[in-house]
Amino acid sequence: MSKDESEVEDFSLLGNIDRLIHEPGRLMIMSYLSVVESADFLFLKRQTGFTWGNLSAHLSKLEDAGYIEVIKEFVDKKPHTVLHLTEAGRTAFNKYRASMTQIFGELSTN
Amino acid sequence: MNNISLKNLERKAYLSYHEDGILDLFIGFNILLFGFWIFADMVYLAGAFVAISTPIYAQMKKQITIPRLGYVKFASSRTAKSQKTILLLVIAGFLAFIPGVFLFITTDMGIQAPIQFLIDYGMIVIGIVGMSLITTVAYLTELRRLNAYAVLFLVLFVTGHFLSFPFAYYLFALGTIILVSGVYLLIRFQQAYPLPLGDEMHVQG
Repeated sequence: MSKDESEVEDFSLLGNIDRLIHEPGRLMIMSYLSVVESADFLFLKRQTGFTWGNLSAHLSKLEDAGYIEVIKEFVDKKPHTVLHLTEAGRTAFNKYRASMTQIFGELSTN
Repeated sequence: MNNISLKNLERKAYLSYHEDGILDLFIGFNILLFGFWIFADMVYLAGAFVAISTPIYAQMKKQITIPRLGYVKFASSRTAKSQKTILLLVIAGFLAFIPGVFLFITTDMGIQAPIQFLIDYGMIVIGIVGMSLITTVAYLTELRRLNAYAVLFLVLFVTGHFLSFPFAYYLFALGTIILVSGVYLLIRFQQAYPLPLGDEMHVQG
């Protein structure tokens, strides 16, 4: 394999990154949802520091991709909206983490 | 640059739910009350108040903390740790009777050494036991400020060994300090996390 072909193969890993998760805001959201069972909008807003509008926009994209599920349930007899990662979302997030670990593991200063 | 750790992320989120000082209010209030019951010679009421104040603690979390931080269900590993902490406290409560029963039996049998030891060094023993219990709770809950309360507990009761104030006074001092700490934390928490405005909430859906 020539030097150019080898370099293209090395960087093909970058092309396979899930861009939906890769966006820093959505990465934060996915990270927080990955470490809890479920949470509401306010929890995510407090932890990420986003505005309501910003948060809502990111959540819509993640929901459209099937990575999160929005559930309306009753907590103490009051309607409440909570979110959690779907199986597809969890799988995608773990795959993204593995990809990034591999990429940064192979990026060398030599 | 620090590495981003999911474990630290979860821990940070969990700890933010205990910045409110409500646990400190609960602990300080119960210690103060325990001191009061001892002072009033009504120790049998002490346990009843812990049972009553526990639902109050839960209600304060619902009314103060959750509306400010949001609702979250932590992973089962975190829930299991909380359950271990509660179990530890329940076991400690039961075990606290054992020395009392032991002293009762030995005194009844005419063996004076154990009761004499307790009379001579009781404050130090209580200080060590109290510190150990609080330190264990601090470890299980990952609330480091409880370690400061543990040290304070030990210092107060070891000091009490050399002074001759009534036992209840040390509980008053300890309870007051923890209560004041809780009030300070609660005020700071409410300033850091104001209630969301009504018009912001519609975005939540």
